[in-house]
Amino acid sequence: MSTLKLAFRNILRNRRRSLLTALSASVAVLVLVVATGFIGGVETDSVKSYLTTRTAHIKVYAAGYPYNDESLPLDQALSPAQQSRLVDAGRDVGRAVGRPIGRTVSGLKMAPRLLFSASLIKDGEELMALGAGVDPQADPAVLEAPGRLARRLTDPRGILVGSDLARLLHLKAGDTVTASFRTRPGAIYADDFTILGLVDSGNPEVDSNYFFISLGAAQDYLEMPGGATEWDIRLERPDDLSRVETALQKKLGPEFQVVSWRKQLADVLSFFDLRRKVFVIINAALFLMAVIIVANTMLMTVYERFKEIGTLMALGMKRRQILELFAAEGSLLGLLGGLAGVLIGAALIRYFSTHGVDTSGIRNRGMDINVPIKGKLYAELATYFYFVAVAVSGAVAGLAAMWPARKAAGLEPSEALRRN
Amino acid sequence: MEAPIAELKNVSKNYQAENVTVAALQNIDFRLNPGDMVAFVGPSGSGKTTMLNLLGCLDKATSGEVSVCQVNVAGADHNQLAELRNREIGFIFQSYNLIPVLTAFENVEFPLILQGVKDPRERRERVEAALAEVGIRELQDRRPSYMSGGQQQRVAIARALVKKPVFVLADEPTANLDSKTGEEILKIMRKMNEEKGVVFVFSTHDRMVMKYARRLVGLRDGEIVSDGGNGV
Ligand SMILES: Nc1ncnc2c1ncn2[C@@H]1O[C@H](COP(=O)(O)OP(=O)(O)O)[C@@H](O)[C@H]1O
Ligand SMILES: [Mg+2]
Repeated sequence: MSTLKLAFRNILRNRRRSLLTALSASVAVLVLVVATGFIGGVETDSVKSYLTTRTAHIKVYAAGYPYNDESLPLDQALSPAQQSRLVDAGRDVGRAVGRPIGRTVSGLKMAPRLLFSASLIKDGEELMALGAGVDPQADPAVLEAPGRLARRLTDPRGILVGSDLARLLHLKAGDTVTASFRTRPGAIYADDFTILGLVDSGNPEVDSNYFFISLGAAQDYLEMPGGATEWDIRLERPDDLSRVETALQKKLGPEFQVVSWRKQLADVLSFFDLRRKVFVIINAALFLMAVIIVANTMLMTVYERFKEIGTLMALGMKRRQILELFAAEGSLLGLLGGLAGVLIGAALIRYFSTHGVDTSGIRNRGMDINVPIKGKLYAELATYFYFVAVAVSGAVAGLAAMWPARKAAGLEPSEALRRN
Repeated sequence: MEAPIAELKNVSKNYQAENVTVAALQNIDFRLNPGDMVAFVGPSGSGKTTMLNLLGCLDKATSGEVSVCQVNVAGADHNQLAELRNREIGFIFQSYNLIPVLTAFENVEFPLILQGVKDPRERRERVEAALAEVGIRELQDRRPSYMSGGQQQRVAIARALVKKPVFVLADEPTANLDSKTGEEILKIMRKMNEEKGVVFVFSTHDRMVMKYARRLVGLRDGEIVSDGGNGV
């Protein structure tokens, strides 16, 4: 009769109590698994959405360009000379980090953008918008919004509009809309543009703020020949991020600022971090409840079994073995409860990793859920995490049982035998 | 004279209960000899259980010297005492004290596992022999709650004897049994004593039980008041 087998039989003695105790661990583990799955899924999808629709992997601006606010100053754009230096530097660095991938040797793809503030006006309604001049050929290789639609930008009077922005102004493809903006020299320019398509990137930030125009047209209207406010870079291998970032910055010098997506999304990432911390605190509270419940159950068990403990000691069981027995009983409660929690959690994660949770209901009620994802939220959890969760549950319950177990092991055999 | 199995020299045992010191045993001198079948007799509270606890290394004396199987109990730590109990001493209790989650077989096997008898075949043989000796082999797969008091006490005897202890302590072993069943239990112990020389020490305040002892030690208020052969 191993200690584990004996412990297992002992927890079956009072099944209902054991079940309820184990359940407290199940709840803690279930919340751990499901919440971690959703947090992980949302983080992954958010980052992917930002990367593909807005930040690219790296952006290069002129030094001092305030990329973090919405002012979009045109007087801090990159000059044509700076841009050609940038392209050369990109080519060098690309060659340095590039691995042969198919027929491409370069490790990075680059495209210029010219961002400017504007407003779109339709039937007397005016909305602030962010105009982006994009290179119809190069841009789709770097970012997916507008992506292939960019190729339609052949007419200088044609624009692509974010789908949500269009909806707010009751616009559809083929309609005309007035765009108004200030040129680089400071003149107000307003004219009618034809909507060549709607951009539905999935990132609400882009879809409700951006409209796209060809880079050449933007340069003409803004009176900035050859100008661009930024160059966006996409890496073949995202792992090269920090290498490319440092190499580029070093090559370009202080006239430029090279900003990785991590830096661009610093606020978002620190929000992720905060969210995880808050969750850890909530989950720790649940585990603490489980600890209290397990400790309470084990303490009751010890009190009920004084005489049995005395008998075990009379038979020659050592204190250490008594301690192990009761710790094992607590641990088993945590392990079995944790296992149940993980099984239910895994089923939920499995379901929600393919079916997702629809958030459109929440959005339609006007709530901001701080996620750059318009469709469904998907859960995602590495398999090893399930094992970790069960192990944590068992260890936590085992620790919770330590105090009662020490009480049991510390009894004097004659004292224990006297009790009933 | 043969070396004693256990010896108490000028032993006293006090209990501290809420600022009152209870002298459970006072100035006890006692030798447990090979072949003994000894009963401590005396009214409730006279110190019988305390006496057996000292002999069984379940408790330590307040003063005096206790040696059990050549071990000075006062100087031994709890691990050494646990080992001593496990190897040399059998225990039988008034309320049987079987482990409720173990079958009769497993209850009897338990001390052997604690002893580190690794070979399951050897354990099985010894357990089955012990159960046969007390006449309940057919109940080996039952748990205690499915056995009568008499059957449980037989399992307890098998559990005490399976490890071939130097001596067996039985604190009022028949107190919870009807007199007929109690007598059967005593007959088993007596037979083991006569045939195998197993040393038994039990306590009782029942006249009927006393006649199965060969030596009677009278206790009163924590003192030995008589010690002699059983004339009954
Ligand atoms: N743990 C204890 N704490 C306080 N008093 C005790 C304790 N154990 C025994 N006693 C007292 O010691 C005396 C002897 O008890 P015990 O040895 O149990 O007697 P018996 O077994 O003959 O009935 C009694 O007065 C009892 O109340
Ligand atoms: Mg007693």
